[in-house]
Amino acid sequence: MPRRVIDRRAFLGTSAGAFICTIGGRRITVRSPEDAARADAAARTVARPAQAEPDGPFPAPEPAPGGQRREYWIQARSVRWDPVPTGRDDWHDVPVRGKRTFRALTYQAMTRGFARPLAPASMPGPVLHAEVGDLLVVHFRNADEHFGQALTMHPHGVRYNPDYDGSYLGVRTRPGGFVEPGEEFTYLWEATPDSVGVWPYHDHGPNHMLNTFRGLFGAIVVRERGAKAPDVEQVLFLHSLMPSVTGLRRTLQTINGRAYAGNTPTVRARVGQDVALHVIGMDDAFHDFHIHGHRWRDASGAFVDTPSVGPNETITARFVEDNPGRWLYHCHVFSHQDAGMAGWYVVDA
Amino acid sequence: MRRALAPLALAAAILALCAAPAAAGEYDPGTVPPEATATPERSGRVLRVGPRARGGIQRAVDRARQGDTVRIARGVYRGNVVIRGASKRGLRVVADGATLRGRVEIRDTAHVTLQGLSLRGGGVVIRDVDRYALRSVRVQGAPGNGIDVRRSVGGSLRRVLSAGNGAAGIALGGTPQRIRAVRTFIRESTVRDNAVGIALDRMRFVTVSRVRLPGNREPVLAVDSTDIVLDALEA
Repeated sequence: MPRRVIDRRAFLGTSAGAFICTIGGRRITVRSPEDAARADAAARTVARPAQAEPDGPFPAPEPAPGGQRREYWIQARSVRWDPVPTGRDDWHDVPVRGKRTFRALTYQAMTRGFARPLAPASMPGPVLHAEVGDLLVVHFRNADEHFGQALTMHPHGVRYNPDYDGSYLGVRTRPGGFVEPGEEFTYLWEATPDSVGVWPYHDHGPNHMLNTFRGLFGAIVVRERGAKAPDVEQVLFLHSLMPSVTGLRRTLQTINGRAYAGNTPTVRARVGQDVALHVIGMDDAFHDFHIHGHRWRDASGAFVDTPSVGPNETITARFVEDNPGRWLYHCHVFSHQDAGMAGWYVVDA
Repeated sequence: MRRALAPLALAAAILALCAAPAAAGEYDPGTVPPEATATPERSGRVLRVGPRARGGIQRAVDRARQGDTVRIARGVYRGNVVIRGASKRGLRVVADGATLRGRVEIRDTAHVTLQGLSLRGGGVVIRDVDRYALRSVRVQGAPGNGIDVRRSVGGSLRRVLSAGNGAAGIALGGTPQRIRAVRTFIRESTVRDNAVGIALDRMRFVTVSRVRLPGNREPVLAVDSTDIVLDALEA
């Protein structure tokens, strides 16, 4: 098959918020909701790869001595999602007008056997917690009844064999890489010493880009065995909702799927508390995470207050709180900040 | 001793009803349902049937194609209804206050929904079906099992009433071999005054949640079944 050359207009379109999906070997440029519908139709026709059928030759992992099995039941389902549920930008004290809801895809924590929801379906999905030596046992169910496509959960940071990769790999797809509507798969992920940190998980099925942009992502927090959790801990996903994905008239720059202060998480702390904000990029852009009135050390030990975070990268702002007041946190890419990527950080004395 | 033996005898009777005609102790996978990868598109075509329609519900079902909806008007209907074969994939049979004095059989198909129908004196029989939904269905007075499902996967029973049946209110048996688990859910339903409330025979991947089970001699009976989750049941 001849390679398709991307012309200048297509390139400019892509750089202006469109993106190119490769679905089952077919390339689709998504510039509009109609293109997204074509991508969805293509994803629905992707057949289950042959190697995804039998279980692999890999031994099932077990917890390390002293470790635990930490079991989660998580379903993927579509929901109507409102990125601006208050209808206002609380920072500028102005209404946000126009149509706001769209069809999102989310991970949802359930009780055992998917009997009942533990929490509303939301963006991001539930935070998975483990300590070094633990085995994460994640029962995943594709409960979506709208898009009709295979979905998965693909983790970062933890150890797994290829059966539990949760990635569609064409004819090389292993069992966890293709979970069709109504089906279940149990992923086994090990928290090893080099897993300590905060990591994303996300869909990596045949239509991973579009479905991740729709909201199929969440976080894994791995600590040293017995390590104390921070007093205040918040995961913040920086993520854009483009019109081609949402069908809305404008791009919303979101934090945890919400746009504009008052809708994005309002983080609260008190002076003297150990605070950790874990910031993860979950789109194609680079962001700069800034908290007014605060500085912290990065991994090299240097003080920072506006570090960059790229796609699927995590940075952690950790500090002992010493500066009471109402502060803004936001992406310091100005166009992102003014399109909603901002929130409140409130510190009580 | 008699207290211990009574449930066993009851179990044997229920499982015989579930498993026939396979010999006792044998697992008969039967016809493995076709693995439907997606819900068939709705055709948008609606076939309406009333109590005086010639041929009744069965004639409308026979005329239905994939993705059609059969709407049954209020009234009392008689006779059995059979929904069978690939041509009925994605069929929705929606009743609005209708009562059927007979049985509904759903066989060798996929993604069939039965909604709002009351059955008196006959139950719902499901065989070799990949994905089925029973919504607000009422089954009362069937001589055997009220809702009797074999070799089928991906069931969703919600707001169902199964009462006063001769054997089990809901009997599920013989999960077929599949590449992936496809769970069956029984939720927010009432199963009462049956010999057994819910009978599971060689089943896998069933979740029963928020189900009322009063007046059954045995609320739940599971034999050779694994990955069964019982949640918030009320006896």
